[in-house]
Amino acid sequence: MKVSKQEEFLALYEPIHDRFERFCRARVYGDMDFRDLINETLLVAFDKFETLRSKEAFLSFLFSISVRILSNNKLKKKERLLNSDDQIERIGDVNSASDVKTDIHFLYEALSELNSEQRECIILFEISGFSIKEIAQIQDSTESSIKQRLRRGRIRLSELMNYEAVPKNRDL
Amino acid sequence: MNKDTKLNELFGQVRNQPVEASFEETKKTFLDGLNAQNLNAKPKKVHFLSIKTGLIMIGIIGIVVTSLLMTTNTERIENKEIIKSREAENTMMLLKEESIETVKPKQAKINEFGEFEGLPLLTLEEYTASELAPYKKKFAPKVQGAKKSNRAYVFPKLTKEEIEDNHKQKKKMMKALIKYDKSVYSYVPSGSFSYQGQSVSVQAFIMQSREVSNLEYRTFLFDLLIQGRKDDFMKAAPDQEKWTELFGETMHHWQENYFADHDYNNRPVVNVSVEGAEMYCFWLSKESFNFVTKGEAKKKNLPYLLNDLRLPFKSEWIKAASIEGKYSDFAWGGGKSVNEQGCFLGNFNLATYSGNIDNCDCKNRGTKSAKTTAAYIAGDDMLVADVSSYNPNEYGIYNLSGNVAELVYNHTKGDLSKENPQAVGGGWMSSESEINVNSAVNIKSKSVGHPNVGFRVVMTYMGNQ
Repeated sequence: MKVSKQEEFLALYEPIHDRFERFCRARVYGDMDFRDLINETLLVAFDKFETLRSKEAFLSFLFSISVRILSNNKLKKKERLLNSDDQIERIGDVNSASDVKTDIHFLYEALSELNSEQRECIILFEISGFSIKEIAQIQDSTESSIKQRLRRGRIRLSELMNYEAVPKNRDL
Repeated sequence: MNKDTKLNELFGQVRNQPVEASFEETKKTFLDGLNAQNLNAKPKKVHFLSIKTGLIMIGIIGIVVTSLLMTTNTERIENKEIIKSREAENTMMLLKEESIETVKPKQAKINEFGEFEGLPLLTLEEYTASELAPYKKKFAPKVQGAKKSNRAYVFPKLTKEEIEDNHKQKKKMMKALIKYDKSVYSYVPSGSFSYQGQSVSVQAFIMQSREVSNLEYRTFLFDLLIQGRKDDFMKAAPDQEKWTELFGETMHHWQENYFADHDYNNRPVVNVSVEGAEMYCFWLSKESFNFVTKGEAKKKNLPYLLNDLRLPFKSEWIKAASIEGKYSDFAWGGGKSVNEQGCFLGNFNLATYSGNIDNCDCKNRGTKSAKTTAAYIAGDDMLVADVSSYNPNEYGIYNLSGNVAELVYNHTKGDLSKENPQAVGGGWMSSESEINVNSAVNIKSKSVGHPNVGFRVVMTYMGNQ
């Protein structure tokens, strides 16, 4: 019974892995490693797999779990993440990225400056490729609200990316 | 390049960026994590559940047990209170029932002879609430008679009024004694007199001027019943069956009524044994002493005259009857039983009288006048006269000769033994010669009474006249 559940769970996850991985990678900036977030989200989702009402909602099911994990993780000390040598190496890799990676890094950094609703909304729409209707269902909101969040989020990102705005937690 | 275009390019780069964590890598990490979770999950779950469940269970059980204990304890306390209140109520009910029981009329059974029997005695309350019985039935045949007829003796039952009357009569008797009531008691001074050729010295004494009446003796017996002295009552009660035993059924009316009926209150009590008479004396003496010690005599400065009441010694009785040896035949003096009007001076058996009784005219001379026995016999069915009939002697004492013979202790000179009782002075059954002051009949048994025998009491006088 467990094998079938595991196979079914992985079968549902495999087609959406890339989108979920990009979401996590964009979402976790400065909070935790996106691999850890993916793994913890999958374990929690597998444990609560019986509560999933519809297979179509599996991706949004994972997003909800991952956001909750991130919220809980913010309460923990960030130093814990630096205890691993592997994580230290990965941080080094990010700093030594190419120009594209540098731009993407700054994008992630700017995204982390947005509020959680705007950030998730932009990540889901711009990176993960969800439609406004799907995002409205994931965030349990109206489409106009999603559009508003997207518009304001992009304006804020533009300001941050062009250095037109000062990041909240960054000294000049 | 505007800002939106630049953002779109950045987002496009991100969307096209290859995944850093492939599905296979993620799957492997997930499965490793899943296996590790499964390995640790069971014991952890069991451990967690066991501790958590145990704590919850202990808490719940503790709360439930505490609640149950409190509830049970409360119920027990309430039950105890209820039980106590019920016990108190039951106790009160029992006490009530007992108190009711003490005053509840005892149901008497009526035997095959139509008499009451099985009556428990003898408290005032019981008598107060007792079933009323005809006064005349109060004194059923005594135990001797019951033995003969094989019937159980039935004790009389007194009403509240009868008990009160008895107490009043008893108090009256006590007062008469301690006050030295001269209408009841006569003083006989000390002195020596010649009796049958011998000089006899007698100390001063007080003698009851009248024979003990049915009323007085009944007061004594009822007081015994009220005090619960059932055995003493049986011992002292007059043997009423002597009437029919000696005279046959023609005297049945007397057997039934003489001692019990109020019409005979002032007649001398008869059929009383020596033991009964002595008990009466002891009772009167003791009760009078109790009466005095309550303080009334002291408060009224009454002289202490009381000594042990008793039956008279024969020397005392002879002295009182013969007026210190002055009269040798009858207590009224002289040698005749009739006066010059032809009236008999004492009560005796006229069947033995040799004279003529036809000229008697003394019937209506009043209670203080001499009356003829013949008149009673002819008109009033009076065989035994009232204790105050005929004329008293010089000491104020009635019926020393005739009416009923009186119990005395026959003793020799210097010997005050009470072992040889006699009946002296004769009675209504005696002949003219037998009512002589010197006549005496020996009493063979102290426990047997006789219809011709009564008694009166004397008391040695200890004070100054």
